[in-house]
Amino acid sequence: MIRIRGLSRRYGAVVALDGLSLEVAAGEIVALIGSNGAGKSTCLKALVGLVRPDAGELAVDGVDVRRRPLEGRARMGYLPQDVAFPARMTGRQVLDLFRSLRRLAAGETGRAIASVGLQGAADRPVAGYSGGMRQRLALAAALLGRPPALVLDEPAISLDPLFHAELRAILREVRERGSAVLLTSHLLPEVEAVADRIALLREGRLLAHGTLAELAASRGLRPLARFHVPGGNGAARRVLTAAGAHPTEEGDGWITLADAAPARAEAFRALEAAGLRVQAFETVPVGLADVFRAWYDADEGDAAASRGARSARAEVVR
Amino acid sequence: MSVAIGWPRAVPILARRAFLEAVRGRSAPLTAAVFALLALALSWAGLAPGGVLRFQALSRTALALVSLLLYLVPLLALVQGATALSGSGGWLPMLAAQPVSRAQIVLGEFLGRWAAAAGAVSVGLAAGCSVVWLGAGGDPAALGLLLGLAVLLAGVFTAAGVAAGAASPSRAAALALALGLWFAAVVAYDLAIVGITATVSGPALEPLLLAAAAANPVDAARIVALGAFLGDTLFGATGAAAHRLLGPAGSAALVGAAAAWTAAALTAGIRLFSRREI
Repeated sequence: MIRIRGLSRRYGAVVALDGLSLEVAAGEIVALIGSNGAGKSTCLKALVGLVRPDAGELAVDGVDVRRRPLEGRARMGYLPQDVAFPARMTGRQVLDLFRSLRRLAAGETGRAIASVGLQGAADRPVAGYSGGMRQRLALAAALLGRPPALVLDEPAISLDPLFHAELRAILREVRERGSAVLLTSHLLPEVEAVADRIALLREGRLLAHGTLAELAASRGLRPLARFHVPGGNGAARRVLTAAGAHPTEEGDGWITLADAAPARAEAFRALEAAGLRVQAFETVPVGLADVFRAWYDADEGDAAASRGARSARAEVVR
Repeated sequence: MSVAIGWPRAVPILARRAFLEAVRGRSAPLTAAVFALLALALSWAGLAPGGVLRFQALSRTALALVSLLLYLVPLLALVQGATALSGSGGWLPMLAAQPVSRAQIVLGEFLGRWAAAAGAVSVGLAAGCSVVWLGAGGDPAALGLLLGLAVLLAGVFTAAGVAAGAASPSRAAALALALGLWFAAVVAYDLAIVGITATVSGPALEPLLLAAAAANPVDAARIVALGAFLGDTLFGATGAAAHRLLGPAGSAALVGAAAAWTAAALTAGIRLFSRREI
């Protein structure tokens, strides 16, 4: 389990983290997402002791990592955003070094190599590795010893599309084993595929956290419904508008209803009653990109309103 | 930032990695080859002005090599040390995220790189001087003294280089700092001493020069060599003064001073690296 309480960090005038609190339960994957500079990497670096927080509590598997950093780090596997290795070491030597420092059994190196599919390259110098292979090696290093917590900064970056599926499988296996996983990613489809919960960060603040469905619902986002009515595009739009829906024409006979699910049955009935045949229908779920945008837009609106209120109050005071 | 002591065996594990990384590159064999060739060239060239083309005795060759060691070993060790912990690339975050303390990382890097630098210089000197000894004879103890000087200088300046790297967020800054330290210790310091001898005279001069020697490991090493080879005229004002004051017994004190500088540099490196965010 990972517990973050009131984590704050400033770099001069820039607030990197502003009282962030978050928990990742054992057997859970939580993704931190946010724009560049939102504080995601700083949060992960604070957990593994690479940056010093101004305030806050950090605990991993019950160990206060600020007071007992070595014990805390022994319980964490960490994958940094920028991965690099001494060029002349082989992949196996890198993992053997970390295995030795973690006092793990010799068999752990081979297990970690196999878990990321690097068996064929493990005895070659890292200098000859592609970016994706280095990323896989770093992931293997993080997985060494099956730590109770994994802290992964952009784990899918540099990986080829084929390995994305393997990464998902690895993360699901880690979750099933009972490890807590905290990761950051800009690859939102990957986050959607693996994360149990999502934490949205902006300027060091936690905007919201929850499952994708919860985050979407709290911003009023619902799945879209798409109808294919061949030859009856304009007529279908008129019928649906008359039925109180808010359709959007896409062309080629496709119409989208933004207010989706509840209106779907009524839309069907209205179209049939008008003699229009619905040839195809699909539901487009709310994506993480939509949720991300909606929360950022809402926060922007709140911030603008707050600025407006402040300036109005200042006017009154003057 | 970790201040914990950590598992003691982590230091030798880290030192072994740093050593292997250093000796697997081209720089270690190149360093050894350069010092071997320098030993041969200096020995061969020593008698050339008299029209004699053969190796001169090992003792005289060793004396000629001392000045080179005083210039080159600090430079080599500073550069090697400075690249150990500088920058913020992906390796340092991975290493620092392991269950080891920052102090252990600093000590491991220092020991590994010191061993690599001292080892490469020693192998080269031993190879070159062995050929000289076989060709021209001489006292083999001179080689022992050279190797001792190489190990001493490599230790002090690897520690200073590691401290420079620990203080620097970028590799370029670390190298610039290392080169600045080398210039200050090897070139500017002696110029300052020459200035002092020109302006200070009387009984205050010799203790002042002696303190100056203890304050700079290069001068300390120079005087240790002076004590052994009795080459007063070759080693400058500080060396001559110290030799007169200390005699051979003072060499141990100067080696102690150099060791103290090594410990001070390492302490600074540990403090700087422990505070640094990666």
